[in-house]
Amino acid sequence: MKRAISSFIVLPLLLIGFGSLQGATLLDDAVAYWDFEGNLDGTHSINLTDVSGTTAGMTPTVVPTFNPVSGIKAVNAGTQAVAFDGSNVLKTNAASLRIGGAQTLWLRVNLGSIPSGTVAFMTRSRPVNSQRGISLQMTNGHLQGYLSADGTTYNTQLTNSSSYALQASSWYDISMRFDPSNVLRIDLYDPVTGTLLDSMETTANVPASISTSNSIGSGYFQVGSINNGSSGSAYIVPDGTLIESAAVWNSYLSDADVRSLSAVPEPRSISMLMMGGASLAMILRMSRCR
Amino acid sequence: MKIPPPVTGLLAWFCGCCLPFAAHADVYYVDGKKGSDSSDGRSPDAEHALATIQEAARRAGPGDVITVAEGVYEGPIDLHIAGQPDRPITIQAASRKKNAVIITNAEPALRKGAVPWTVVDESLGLYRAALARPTCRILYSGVDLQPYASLDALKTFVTADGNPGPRHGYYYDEKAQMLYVRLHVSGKYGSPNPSDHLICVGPRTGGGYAGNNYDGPLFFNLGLRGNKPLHVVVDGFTFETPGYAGVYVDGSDVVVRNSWFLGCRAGVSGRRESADPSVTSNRVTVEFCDYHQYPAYDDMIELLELRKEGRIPAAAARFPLFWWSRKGNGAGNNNTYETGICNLVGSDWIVRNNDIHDAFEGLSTWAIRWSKGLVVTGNRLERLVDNAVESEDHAFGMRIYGNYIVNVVEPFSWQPLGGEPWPGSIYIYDNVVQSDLALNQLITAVSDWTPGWFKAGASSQNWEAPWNSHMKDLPRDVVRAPGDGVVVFNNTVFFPGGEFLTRVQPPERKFENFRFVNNVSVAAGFSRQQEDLGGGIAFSHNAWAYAPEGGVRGQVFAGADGTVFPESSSTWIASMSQNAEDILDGAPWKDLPGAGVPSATAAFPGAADIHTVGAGLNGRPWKMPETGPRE
Repeated sequence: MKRAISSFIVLPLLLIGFGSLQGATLLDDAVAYWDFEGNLDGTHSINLTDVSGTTAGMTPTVVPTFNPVSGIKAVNAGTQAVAFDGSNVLKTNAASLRIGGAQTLWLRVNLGSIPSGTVAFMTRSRPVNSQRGISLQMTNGHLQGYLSADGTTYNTQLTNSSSYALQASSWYDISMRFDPSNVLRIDLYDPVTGTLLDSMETTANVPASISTSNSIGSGYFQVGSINNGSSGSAYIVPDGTLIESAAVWNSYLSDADVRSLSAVPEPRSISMLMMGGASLAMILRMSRCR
Repeated sequence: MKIPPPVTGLLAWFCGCCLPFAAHADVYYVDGKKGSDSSDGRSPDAEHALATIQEAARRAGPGDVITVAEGVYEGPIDLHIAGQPDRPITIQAASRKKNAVIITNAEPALRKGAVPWTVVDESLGLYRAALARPTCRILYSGVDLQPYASLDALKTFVTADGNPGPRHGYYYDEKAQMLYVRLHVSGKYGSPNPSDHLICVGPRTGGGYAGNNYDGPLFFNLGLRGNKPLHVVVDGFTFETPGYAGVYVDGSDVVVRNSWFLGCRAGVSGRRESADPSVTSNRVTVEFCDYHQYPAYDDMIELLELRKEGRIPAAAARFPLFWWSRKGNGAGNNNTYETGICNLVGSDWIVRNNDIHDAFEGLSTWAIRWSKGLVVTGNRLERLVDNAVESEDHAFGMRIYGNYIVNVVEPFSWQPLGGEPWPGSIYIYDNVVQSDLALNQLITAVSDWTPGWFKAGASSQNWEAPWNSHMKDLPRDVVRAPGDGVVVFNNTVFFPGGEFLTRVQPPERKFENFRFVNNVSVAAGFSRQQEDLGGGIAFSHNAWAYAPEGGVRGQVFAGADGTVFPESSSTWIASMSQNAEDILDGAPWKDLPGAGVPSATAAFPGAADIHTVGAGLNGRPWKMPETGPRE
């Protein structure tokens, strides 16, 4: 994201780019936000590491690859995305991501293929007893969400085989929100059109909190896979997958907030640009009068 | 107890000072075109109006009113609000006219005409456009398109079960993310080119076998959330192409009125169905609304006429009703139109004074399966492909009265498929049913099947279907409706060319606790099964007239102290084309003696004292109900 704003266009942007600035405020509020603009650095110094997903303990690190992106029309679209080759995954052990209460996971992804079986997008979990936490996944193209209160079982399982089936080589904005004792919800937006493609939720067996154990599965936060302990990772996103940005909030974002992350600005009309120019001229004139 | 003066004075002070504040109500104005969510919302002008219903709802408290200006508002609109029993929150449209204040889940770019349509096959009138998400409902300028299961099926208008389907439809290729449509070439619904229409493409439907279970906000246009008493009134909106329901009521105590449901699988949905009323949505009223799936009925008539003329083949079907594509035979059960104005009704719902027309059903099993205390009154149910009101599988305490039912293929249904508990008590009274002779004759001529105005019976599925394991060892010889049973009294039914009874259980299985008293039935026959004498049903004080021809079993329906009119069929049929109120006013059965119906006292307190026959109880003139949105 992509907030390098030249000073000489500040005023017109104030007038015509209000939506993107709103998005910036929202992203500033995230516990961590990764824009993947040539690096894996996150806000608040929560950086990800690119590692081999097939090695026990997920070492060694690998040099990340960043590909240029285009075609995304959402207000906060960037120019680069981190690339996955079917073996690498991103991880961090930052304690601030071990959130037990309300939270929102969000990412913008383009899948290289839609494999049979399961792919994990954002997880702080391991599919074994005592190490489960939270997991945003996809099985056979359908999004799924899982929550565990005690780390032993997934109390909440959000699945729907009739939900939207994701396609390869398309950009998607995916959010998963957890409201304790209330709801687990997944929203799927198209960042090219801003359209809400699907929205699914469950209120069944939603726990009051999620396990924040520091065990290896529920301690590590991963993007593009789920921790599989000694075997490394499982459910690794397929070769050719791009993730343009990702974020985590320690709150249940509102529907409007989630929508704003994928909002596509209306085409700027000449009249608005003229209005921006006229406002700038008026301010310059006023400043001269002083 | 006498209240001492100081306390009385204190009460007076409290009432004088506090009640004005308690009764205070704020009005928040929303204008999607001119408003801003940073405004105060306290005036409808552009300077003050809010931009979204969500923001107004966030600010509103008990007793407040949200007034929404004309325009199109994108759904789903998901609200977490609650009023109080005597101070509901009202969300009202500034204009109640159709399409004045629209809440839509239609795909925005297609709705705005921003997505180009490409001709695929000009000879077929086949067009396509890119569409990123699946859909379960499409309207072109308000006209509903039948879904087809494949592109070939759309090209040939052949439904999933091999029967001919409506002459316009769509197919969505999910893998290619491409929508194909064929609009009607006759011109009766406008141009066959989709570029010339407002195209509304809803999202996918809900979860479960019939897609009618809530599974996420795309399910609704307007969601009233929170499984608790909500005390919300929704008034005057046009709801358009949601995943399932225009309004989703997660909690209880909601009124939806004066609203239009376009491309909605259901108008208003509860949260779930259950025998346990503590988990259902209760005390919901749906009144003065308009619900349709136009042209579902016209599509049926067109298919029947084409078949009659030999212009379309009928598949070698086991089931004669080949025109039932919208039941789910078109493109799969998940797209079924067998829904009706409500869905997942809980306890004590009221459905009154609505126009429910041009649809597959009025209130189907998906609506009322576990309903308790449902009242269906004062509605006009017209041009429906199947039933006006069903009571299966387990409805309890349902009252159906004062409705006007016109050209509905089979108006009433008691046809459980879920085993015990059977539907009951069911009270059907003071309704007027009026069907055209031509309709029943057309169906009979084309399908060799004759509709009946009362469909009843428990088929073997109740004992043998895998979901009825609790029934396997229970006897099958008698089906006893529980409680007061099925009590049908003082209805007037003009059903020329049709039958009284469509029996869906074998002749050896008897009905028990079914009563027909004081009804008037003008129909061609008693039942299509010649041996059927309604085994176990109690008939008394009914009036019967044959139309168009005589038979011998009218006397069975007339029952004890009943009457069979000897008039010629032509006289009856001619009079039946008149205004219903005029017919009733001069009806020849007006002076026939009726009988008290004590078994219906729980539904109608004066039932034990009834002394007349037909609709219009005890000489009170039957009045055509006022229906539909009031501007």
